[in-house]
Amino acid sequence: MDALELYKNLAQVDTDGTLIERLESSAAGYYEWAVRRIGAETTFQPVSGLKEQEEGMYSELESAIIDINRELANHNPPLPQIDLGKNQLAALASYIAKQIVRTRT
Amino acid sequence: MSSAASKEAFARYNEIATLLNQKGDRDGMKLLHTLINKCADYFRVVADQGKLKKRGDSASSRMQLGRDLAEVDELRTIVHNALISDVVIFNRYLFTKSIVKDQIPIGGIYTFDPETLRVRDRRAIGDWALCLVEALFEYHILDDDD
Repeated sequence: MDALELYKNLAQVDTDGTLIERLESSAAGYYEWAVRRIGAETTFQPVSGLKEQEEGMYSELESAIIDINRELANHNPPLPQIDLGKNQLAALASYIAKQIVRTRT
Repeated sequence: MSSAASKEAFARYNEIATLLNQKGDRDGMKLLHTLINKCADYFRVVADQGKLKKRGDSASSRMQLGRDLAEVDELRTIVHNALISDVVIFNRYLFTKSIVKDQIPIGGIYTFDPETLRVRDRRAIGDWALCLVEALFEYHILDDDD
């Protein structure tokens, strides 16, 4: 399922927007901390602490997706779920970050 | 990679990081690291502001939302100023103090029109920072096969 389809499906199960807010917030957090860790690695600075932050935000993103998948599965008819693979979550985080940047004022 | 601007920002970043590393310019590496953190700070505040604005109609207290928005708006200005300042500081270091000052391309780390940095074009410098952040994530995370 691509990100556009995901948002379309989410609109059917997330009427008050809390799931979407959680998804976007955790995706942005993961993206931000991944960049901080990469910045440290590529300039040969200490990464301890940054890796943990990145992993923590990744876990939050995963947890948000698990809850979203539960809602998607409970919908009548059931809606396609989000793949929890690492590459898929990273691609989703990248898509969400780009939307945040694109819609900024 | 989504845009030519991101590709260019990433290529320049790698070029400068490699030069600094090869010559053992530790101060330069530290300054570059600080700059990347400023770029990440800017993304963070843009994301926070977007999240608050989306809440809009669903907020139970409009007054509270207004206060939160004013707060994040002020923070964004501070973070944006710090970002601009760090791009200028890093470029000044590259061109005047760095061990590799003779090998630095025009514009230094900044790959947009150098004139936009000279006149402190806030929008352009913010766009550049977000391009670099995007490129770092895409090249290091999305292209990672692990």
